[in-house]
Amino acid sequence: MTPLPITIETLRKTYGEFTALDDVSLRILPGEFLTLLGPSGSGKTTLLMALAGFTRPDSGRIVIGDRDVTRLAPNKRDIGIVFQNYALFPHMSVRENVEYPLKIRKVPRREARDRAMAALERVKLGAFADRDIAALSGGQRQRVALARAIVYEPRIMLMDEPLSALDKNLREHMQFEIRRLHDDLGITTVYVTHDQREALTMSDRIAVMSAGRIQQIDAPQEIYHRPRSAFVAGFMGEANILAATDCRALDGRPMQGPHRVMVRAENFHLDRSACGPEGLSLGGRIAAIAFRGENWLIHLALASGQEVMLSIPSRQSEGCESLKPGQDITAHADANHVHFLAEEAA
Amino acid sequence: MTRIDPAVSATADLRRDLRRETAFFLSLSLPALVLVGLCAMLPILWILRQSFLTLRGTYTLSNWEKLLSSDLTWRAIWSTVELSAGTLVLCCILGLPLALALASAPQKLANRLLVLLMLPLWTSILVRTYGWLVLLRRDGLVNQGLQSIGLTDTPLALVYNFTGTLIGMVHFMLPLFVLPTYAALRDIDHNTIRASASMGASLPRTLVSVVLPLAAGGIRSGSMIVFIYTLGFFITPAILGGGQVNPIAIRIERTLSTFQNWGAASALGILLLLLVALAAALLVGVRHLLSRRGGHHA
Amino acid sequence: MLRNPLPSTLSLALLATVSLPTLVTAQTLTITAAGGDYGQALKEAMWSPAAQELGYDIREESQSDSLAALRMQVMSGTVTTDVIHLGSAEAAQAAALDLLEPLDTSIVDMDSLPEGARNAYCFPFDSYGTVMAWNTETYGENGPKTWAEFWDTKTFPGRRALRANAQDNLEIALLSDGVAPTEVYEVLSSETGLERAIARLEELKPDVAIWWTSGAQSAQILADGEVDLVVTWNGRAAAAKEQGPADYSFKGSIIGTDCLAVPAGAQNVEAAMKLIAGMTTAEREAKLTDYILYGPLNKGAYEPGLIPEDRLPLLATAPQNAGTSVYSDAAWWVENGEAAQIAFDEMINR
Repeated sequence: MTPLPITIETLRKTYGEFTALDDVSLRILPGEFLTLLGPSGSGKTTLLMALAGFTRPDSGRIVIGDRDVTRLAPNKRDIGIVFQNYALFPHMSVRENVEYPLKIRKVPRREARDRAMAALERVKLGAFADRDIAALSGGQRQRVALARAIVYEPRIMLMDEPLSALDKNLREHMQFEIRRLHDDLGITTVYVTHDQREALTMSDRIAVMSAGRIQQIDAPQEIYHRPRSAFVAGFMGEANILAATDCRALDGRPMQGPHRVMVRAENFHLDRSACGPEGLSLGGRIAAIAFRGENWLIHLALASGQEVMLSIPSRQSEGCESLKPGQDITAHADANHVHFLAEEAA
Repeated sequence: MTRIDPAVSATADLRRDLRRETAFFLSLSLPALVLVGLCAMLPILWILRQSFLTLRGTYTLSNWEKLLSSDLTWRAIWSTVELSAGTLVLCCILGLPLALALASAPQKLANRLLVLLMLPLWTSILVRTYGWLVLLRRDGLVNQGLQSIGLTDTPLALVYNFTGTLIGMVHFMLPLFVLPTYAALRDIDHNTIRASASMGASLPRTLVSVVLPLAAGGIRSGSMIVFIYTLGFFITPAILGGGQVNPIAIRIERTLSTFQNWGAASALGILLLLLVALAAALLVGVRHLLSRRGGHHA
Repeated sequence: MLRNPLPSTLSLALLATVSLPTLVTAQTLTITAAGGDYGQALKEAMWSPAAQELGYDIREESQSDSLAALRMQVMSGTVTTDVIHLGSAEAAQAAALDLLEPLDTSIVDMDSLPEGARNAYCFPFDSYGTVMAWNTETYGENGPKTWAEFWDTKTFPGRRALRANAQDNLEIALLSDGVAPTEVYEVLSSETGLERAIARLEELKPDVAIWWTSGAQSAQILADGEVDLVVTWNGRAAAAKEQGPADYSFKGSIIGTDCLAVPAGAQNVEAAMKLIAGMTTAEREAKLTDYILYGPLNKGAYEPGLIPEDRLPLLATAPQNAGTSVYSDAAWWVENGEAAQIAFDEMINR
């Protein structure tokens, strides 16, 4: 089955005064793994539910393949959904859960059974087919939900924060498993999360959302290193947004205002020589310093009052052991890691 | 002087504390136990004894012999079961959609509608039953309405028969069926319904395969309340039945008022009690059977 | 005619505690009678003036189920009632259970009673008729005149309502079938009599829309037009006639009576008999009709001048009404009531 593209055109949804989707337009490529990333209330779940057909948009269009599905009922859209709370049927066994969509499609009994078992094997739950849902752990339930969503080979897969209820280790493991599943099946997938690391790990592209709009849509590296706005930068990990006037060039000359720059905590060095010829320097007083295993974390208070976060890798600790709060230091960053932010995105 | 091992003494003390605590909490239930014993068990025992007494107060089995050999008794039992089952079926047919609508309405609206639904429960059953009499009789509102829109030429016999009795009983029992059903429906995770839809299930299919099974507990409680409660109904068939509907409760009254026969009436009362117990046991048994089968997913 | 069926245990208990004998100089008697308007009428028309004349103090108990109260008192051996007011059928049942003292015929006047109404244990004092009533909108003034016509569903098509009780209905059924009023109980007592009456009722059953259970109901359904023909009590029929388009007739009515008796083992038997005699004089029974449409049993009450002319047509025992009537035979009912009622109930539920 060839994967389908999804086109979303000026989709709008308001709840009273609140605008959940503000004329969102988006093209999702066939077979793509696209993540909608954003804080709660940013509109990412509304967008997903509109794709699924559970939320009726006020205006705009959703096209899957070449079919306009904007007004199509959810059960006619041929989509698979994995819910945050799994939404398994507690009155059915594991296998019955997975067989359910096949029964609805009137797949013959024997074939349904075989396909359900195959889907369960794929998520490594073959041995649990006859268990009650209540007897499963959270991770196992998540896998049942996955098996149930893939067993009927839907054209589109939607996932609504499917891993948020799992503990950290399991979550990281499942991120890879879901991605592997996607690579095997090639289904166009839209994935919703508020966890930027999860988004980075899994996605072909990430759409960062806020206030009902897509702020930036790009490949993970692009989003991470070259955020187009302070919001995206801030949301994608420990980014420091600095006024150009607070910094100097590495050679000591003042920087050109009125730009603002983004430097990630891990891209600062205390050793000037670790940077190339171009870059910036930042002077300040240590407000706090802590050893965190893989790195040292330093809060640097600037003259302007802003606090900047530095993350120095342990293996090149650059003399951090001797630093004390109250000490004045200078931090440096290579020009490659200094990202000028567009002005309008304040 | 014996030396006491402090560890042993502490364990003994703790155990005594626990016993004391248990005894205290048990003693809290004592007033309720006494009340139930005096106000429920004693009268039942008294009625049981009465069912073995003649009018002159001597012991006899004749009340029971007559009762069990009489066609009227079996007819009364059948009529009782017929009424209860009919009420239950209608409550399901009317109550399930109502509960579904309530459960899918916004919470605020649902709460208001629930109050409306409960309203009949706060009205005297006598008043409501006579209300139905006024509505359903030959020149009542319902018949007038039906005739004025031309659905029927002659008034329909809506009351003083089985139909009228059933209407009155359903009206009384409907809230008691809807409440537990609604509560169970409200508890269903909406995502399971969405999941079912996303997998291609139509709304009716989702209702049958997902919603109703998940609300089964509430529906069962509601059914149990309706069926068992209605087994003892008296006022509604007495007023709306027109003498044509004669369940056990009516026979008890008839036996008392026309024969002054406390023994026979008591035996009927015990029979009704047994019927209630049997119905409860059957319903509970069915549930066990279902849940066991469900548990194995055979 | 104490028709409220369920005895209240509470009032039994009260009865036991309240009516402990007290010491007073004047003769004190306890009378147990119906409550409500009926009880008030009995007091004002009958026992209050009688007691005054005899110099008795009267303590009044009102009872919704006198027979149950009587049984309780006699069986427990604490008889606190001296005079008790019963329906004739109840009285016959009580007599069969040895709950009543025989009437002292040297004190009470048996000769004042019509022959069909006499009884050795309970002295009848008023009466009601079970009559036919009809909707005058359906039939105009030409209602059925006999029970045979009441059964005639071709000439008188319409919905009928009968009481859900064998009593009176069996008698009526036989009358409709051509049995003479004087032979009703003879036929009923014959081997096939009960069968014949039940079969006759079953013939009418398809046209019986309602088997009523309370007098109020019987009047209501007639006044509402819910049914066209009703067998009901004359008091209720009179009420329906006032309320709605209805009329009724005493033709072939079945007369039931209420009576006064002395419980077995009562403390003041002689005084109680005197009170009964004093209550049932022609004047006092006539006076009762001022309050309630129950016809006197004392023949003297119908002597000219005691009862207003316009009241006479409303009373079951009035000379112009009683000619075609049958006095309900309480003794027959005590003996055969249960079998008759069962046969009747089976017929209804068939």
